[in-house]
Amino acid sequence: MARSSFEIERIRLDAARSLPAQCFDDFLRLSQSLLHGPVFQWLLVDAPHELLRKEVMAALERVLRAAGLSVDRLPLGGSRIPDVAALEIRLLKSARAASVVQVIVPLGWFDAARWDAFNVRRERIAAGARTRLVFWLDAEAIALASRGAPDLWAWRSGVYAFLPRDSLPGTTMTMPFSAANLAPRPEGSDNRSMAERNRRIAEIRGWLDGHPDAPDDILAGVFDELGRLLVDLGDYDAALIHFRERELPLHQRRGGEHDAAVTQGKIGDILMARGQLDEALRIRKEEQLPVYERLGDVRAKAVTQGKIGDILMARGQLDEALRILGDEVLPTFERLGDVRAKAVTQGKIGDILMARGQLDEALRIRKEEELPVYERLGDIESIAHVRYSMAQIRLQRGDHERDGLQEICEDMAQAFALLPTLGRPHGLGVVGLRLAEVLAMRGLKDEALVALDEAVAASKGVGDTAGVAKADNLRRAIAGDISSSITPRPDGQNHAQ
Amino acid sequence: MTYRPPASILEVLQKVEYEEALAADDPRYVETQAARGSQLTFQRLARKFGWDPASNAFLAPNNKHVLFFGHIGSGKTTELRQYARKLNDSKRFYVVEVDVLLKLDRNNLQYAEALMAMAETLLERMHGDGYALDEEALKPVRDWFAAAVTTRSSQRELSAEIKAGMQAGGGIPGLIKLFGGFTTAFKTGASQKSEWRQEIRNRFTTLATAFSQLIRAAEAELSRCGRAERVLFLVDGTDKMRGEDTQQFFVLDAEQLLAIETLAIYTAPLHLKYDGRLGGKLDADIVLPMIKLCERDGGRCDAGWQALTELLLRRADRHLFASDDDIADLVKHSGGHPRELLRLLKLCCEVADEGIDHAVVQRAIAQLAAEYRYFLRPDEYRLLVAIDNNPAQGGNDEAAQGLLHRLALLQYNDGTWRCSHPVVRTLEGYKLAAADPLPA
Repeated sequence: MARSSFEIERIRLDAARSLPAQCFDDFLRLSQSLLHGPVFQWLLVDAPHELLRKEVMAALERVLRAAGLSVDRLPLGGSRIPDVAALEIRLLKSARAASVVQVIVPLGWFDAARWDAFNVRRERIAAGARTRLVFWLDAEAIALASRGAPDLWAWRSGVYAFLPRDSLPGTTMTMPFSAANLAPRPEGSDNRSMAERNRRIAEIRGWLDGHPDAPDDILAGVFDELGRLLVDLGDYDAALIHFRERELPLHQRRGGEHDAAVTQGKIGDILMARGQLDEALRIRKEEQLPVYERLGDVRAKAVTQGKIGDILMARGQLDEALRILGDEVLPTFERLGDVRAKAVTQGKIGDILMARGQLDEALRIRKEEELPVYERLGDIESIAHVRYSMAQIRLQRGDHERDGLQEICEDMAQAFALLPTLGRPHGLGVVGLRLAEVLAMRGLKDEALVALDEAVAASKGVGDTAGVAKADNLRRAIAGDISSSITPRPDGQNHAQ
Repeated sequence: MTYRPPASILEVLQKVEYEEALAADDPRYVETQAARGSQLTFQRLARKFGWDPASNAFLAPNNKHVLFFGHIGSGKTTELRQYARKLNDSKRFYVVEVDVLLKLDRNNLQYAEALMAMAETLLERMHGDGYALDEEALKPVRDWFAAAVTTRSSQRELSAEIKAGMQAGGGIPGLIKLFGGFTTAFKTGASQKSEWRQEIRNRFTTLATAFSQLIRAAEAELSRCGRAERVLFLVDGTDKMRGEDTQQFFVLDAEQLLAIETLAIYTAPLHLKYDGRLGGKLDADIVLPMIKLCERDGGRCDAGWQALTELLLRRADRHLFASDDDIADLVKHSGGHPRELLRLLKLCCEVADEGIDHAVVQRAIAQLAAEYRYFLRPDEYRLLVAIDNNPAQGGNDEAAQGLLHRLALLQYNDGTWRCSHPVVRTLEGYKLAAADPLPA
């Protein structure tokens, strides 16, 4: 099945991140060129070390195959391809079937005479082998090509290098010790793109490889950022290993009891996300809470209790969750004057009430307790979330059957209008679809179709084929003027009956 | 329809092809005469063929073979196509473009097959444009082939292509088939190639006369129809031959080229002009100058900046760049070389996530510089520094020619001054050499 461009990009970034840090940038460049550059390219790769070359080639082929590009490998030397004439024949043959031909060149194979022989054939190869030719070489062979055949050198589409760290010119290994460029990024929202975050991971890993004896004080900040980045990118396996094997031992070594508890919390977050609720609950209760109580950190304790409430809620223990949030967490944040944390806790309480069917109170909390705080703080993401949630509650109450359709529409439209600024294409697809439904129910067909177009574009961008299919169903329903059959449901499962 | 440059990074990347020369009417073409300081280049070229574009005065020489030099990737073919259009429009010339790379195998290309390709292309072009030549005009060439084939077939079986050509009918189509058979044999049959080459060499005087007569007949017909007075061959791709073939073609076999009485332009590699081997046989005056970003005295050349900025913005929509400074930085580091600018643009597209900003541009510059690091040696860095310190003293030795050929050294104003490629100046090797320059 064809993968979406979003999915291919994710695979590409994952593959880049799986390689040694110093390979990250050139892997992205090479894969970008192969995926999106012209059909015919002659790309030179400086990769003299066999193991690293194999690793990079394998990662590259994962990406190419995910993108639907077929790959062929031509190892030079031996009896099958003993010279350039044979290479030409094999290139022409491979190009008929493969989108990318990887030519693996042994050290010393391309001498001046062979480059010359290749040079005189290049136009014929370009005409007959209209595909991407990747030549895996070494620096000496590349230098020979550039010195001996300048016009061939001018013909190159790109040069890429995958070298072991200790052979890189001017790497951090040989630079004076400085962590200035590894200063942790400021806390708060991280607006870096997926590629930037991946690049930062490679940068940090490269730095860590080059500084095995860096002081713990510096490592603490570096580890923190690396862990956050791994979690942000959804690489939970790597994040767990990082937290358990590097960050936690670091804090334990430094005697940082509080920091160790925070790291335990990060592990708990991942376990929670993976549904390992028992172990997550154990960590909250046994590894974190006692530490914060002992240290008298009431805020951290309240945050941890809030997360315990989340776990209880996920396990269906709504009464106990409501008791902790209402009796212990909320009063603490009120006492601390932390309006945002208080609003977040109220939101969780609202979620529980909603789950218990206490919809009027849930809506009141959203509207009167949460929304004003987020509006005052200018927290666009939370405003969008609350608006969407209010619309959902109204739908669940059946307001759309009792003249409440306009309010639902307004809440949904406000949430939809805020989402593009947040860079959440998946959310845009989901909310756009729901908005289109309620607009169609109000008989606003043109507006519904506009919202639907935006939702489809967003869903396609992230490869949400189910979202696109739902949108198509809805579009047919709208086109067939069967608005009476469009029944929005709070769970978003059904769109047209 | 109005042309719109690619509006996304991936679209730009998909369309960057360095080898692509632009057709005369390509919307991506940017006028560069003022930028190159080459306002007079076309006029000088036209005058060599006896036509003054300003006054339309015309008196063509009987025989003129002109070399057209330029850096690899500096836009020779693109510019020549513009020139060809003007020459064609003048109704003085019937320009026949011959791409030897397309017609022939570059492997061991010599004048024999180049001449065959020229004759074949002339006939194809005339036939395509609806002109005809009577059998009397075609007879000398046909007779030459008949005699040559008789000689060869007595020694060896003829190739299928040549047999088919010999059996083809009369008129221009028949002769096209005959020439086509030979160029195919030259392209694909290594053993036959050398034998036919020898045959042509042995009987060259007759062939040269026959070919020249064919050209005269073509010119008579074109003149009778009011289309043009002279045929002018534009032979492209000869700048891309390998080293020893270049020497053989332009130096050792120059007399053979001159034996064909016609007007012709050949593209030629820049280093050939300065290595002193040409010997004055072929006309070697015309160089397509590089686009200048600054004058010899260091003053800014606005026309160059404007042309390259425009060139860049026809390949990538303006909104893709974060600022004008980023565009200027790319232009500056191209050194005025169009292909190097495209190379920088491609590198930007390889590293950019969404748009091209300062950080992306700096990475592209560093990457292009790293490619030069592969071949530059310490002594070459020192030579580059010495030339930069005294641009008029570029030297014509082998080292300087090698640097010119590989674009580490760029040449401006028809060679009156040179300087190193701007990206090379960012390399540590260059900086070290600059800190400890050669004694004056």
